[in-house]
Amino acid sequence: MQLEITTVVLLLSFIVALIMGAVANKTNFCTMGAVSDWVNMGDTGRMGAWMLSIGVAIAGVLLLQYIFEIPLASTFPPYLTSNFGWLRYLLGGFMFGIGMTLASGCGNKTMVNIGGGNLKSLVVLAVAGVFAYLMTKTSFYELLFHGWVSATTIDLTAYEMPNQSLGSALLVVFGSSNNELFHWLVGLLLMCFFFFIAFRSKDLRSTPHNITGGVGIGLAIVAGWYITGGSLGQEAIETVEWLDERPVGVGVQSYTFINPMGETVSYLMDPMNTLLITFGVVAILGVITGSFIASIFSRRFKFIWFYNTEDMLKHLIGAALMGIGGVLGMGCTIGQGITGVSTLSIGSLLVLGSIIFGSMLTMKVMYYKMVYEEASFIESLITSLVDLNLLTEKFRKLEKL
Amino acid sequence: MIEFQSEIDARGLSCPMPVMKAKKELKLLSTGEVLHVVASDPASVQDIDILLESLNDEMIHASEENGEYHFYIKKS
Repeated sequence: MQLEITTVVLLLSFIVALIMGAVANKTNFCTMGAVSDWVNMGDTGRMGAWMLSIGVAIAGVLLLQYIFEIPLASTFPPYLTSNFGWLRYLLGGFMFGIGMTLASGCGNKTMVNIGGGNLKSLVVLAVAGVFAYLMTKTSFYELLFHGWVSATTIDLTAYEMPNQSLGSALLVVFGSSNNELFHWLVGLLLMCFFFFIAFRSKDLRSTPHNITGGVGIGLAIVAGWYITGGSLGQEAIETVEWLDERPVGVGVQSYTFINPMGETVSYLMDPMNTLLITFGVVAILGVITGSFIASIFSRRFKFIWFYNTEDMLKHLIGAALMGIGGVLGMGCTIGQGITGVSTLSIGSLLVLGSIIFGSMLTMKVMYYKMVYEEASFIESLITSLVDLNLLTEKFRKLEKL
Repeated sequence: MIEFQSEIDARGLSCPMPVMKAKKELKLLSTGEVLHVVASDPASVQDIDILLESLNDEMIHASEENGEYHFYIKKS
């Protein structure tokens, strides 16, 4: 039996996602947990793991570009588009950061949790998936977002920038025409920066499981780029172009989890239509399966359901924000935070910063509300902004914790 | 039976809530007092460890019974 080339690509993508899910489960790799450890306990082990995964992904992508000339100019989603939607990146990332904190984990962690038996996360997947579906397949985005997103999007070609990579930006700043030189220079510098940030953390250096998690997830992202953008992926893209009935979502891409949640909803609405089985759909299935296997072997599989109505509401609101914010910001903590940043996209860096900020702010507000039960949301918010040095001390409403 | 002065029921709560509740409660305790935390989220095992490391408080006993995690923490 000879498999179609698109099926081979999907199979390999599934296997890598499965390994990714198992690694994330075993090492407790969690981007929301990374922010929580940092904000609540001053521990940077998991944040270091996240930064390490970005460094590994950048290093791998640079290597892939050098050896295989992977075309990052035309990825799915278009991380390096010349249309720079700065406001959508900022707002989308911010919404996603709030959402993942309320919903107990980012897109990837939601899948890992499901594999471990967490039924709350299954609800989060369903709700975030429906909102991602609304954003990508209906007029919901058109009605609520398209107008202001278009109005605030900057066409970078008007500034002689071919795309939104950091290399292109420096090209314009320095008035040079050597695009290649700037691309490699910026890539290597950014890679070193993330490695430096990661290994500066004693908490990371002293926890081998965090190092394993960071390296494992980073390599999975690189593998995704290689499968879809290497010779096999390129052949699949060319093959699909000749088909009358084309599979959805074939293109150069790596792992991301919010748009794929919408794609999964789309596929489940028409399960007999195998053309709807995308890279994203198999990624979701792969991470859940990998996490499930790891949970069974480590005897940590356990069904978990909502504690009370408040817990359920918190997760539902979080999931909706993840679905909307994840599509608006064109990715999640993995999709933009690692995959996107590995392309050296300025937009991805903006989203990464916004997600971390949104999550930090939400955690601080939640903590102030928990300690000062009588305090209002506004008082907690203002005090949290003071803590994050975005307002001066004179605005402080609650005593510092 | 370990004696404790304060208790948190974090069963059903997911990360980061158990650790945030534990952190809040530990701030209210005096040196030598013991906090009992019961949680159901497997992630709370690692989270509580990291919290204690950052606060320099001591885990005097930790166990798992019927899918519930019990932590007895002595305030330093």
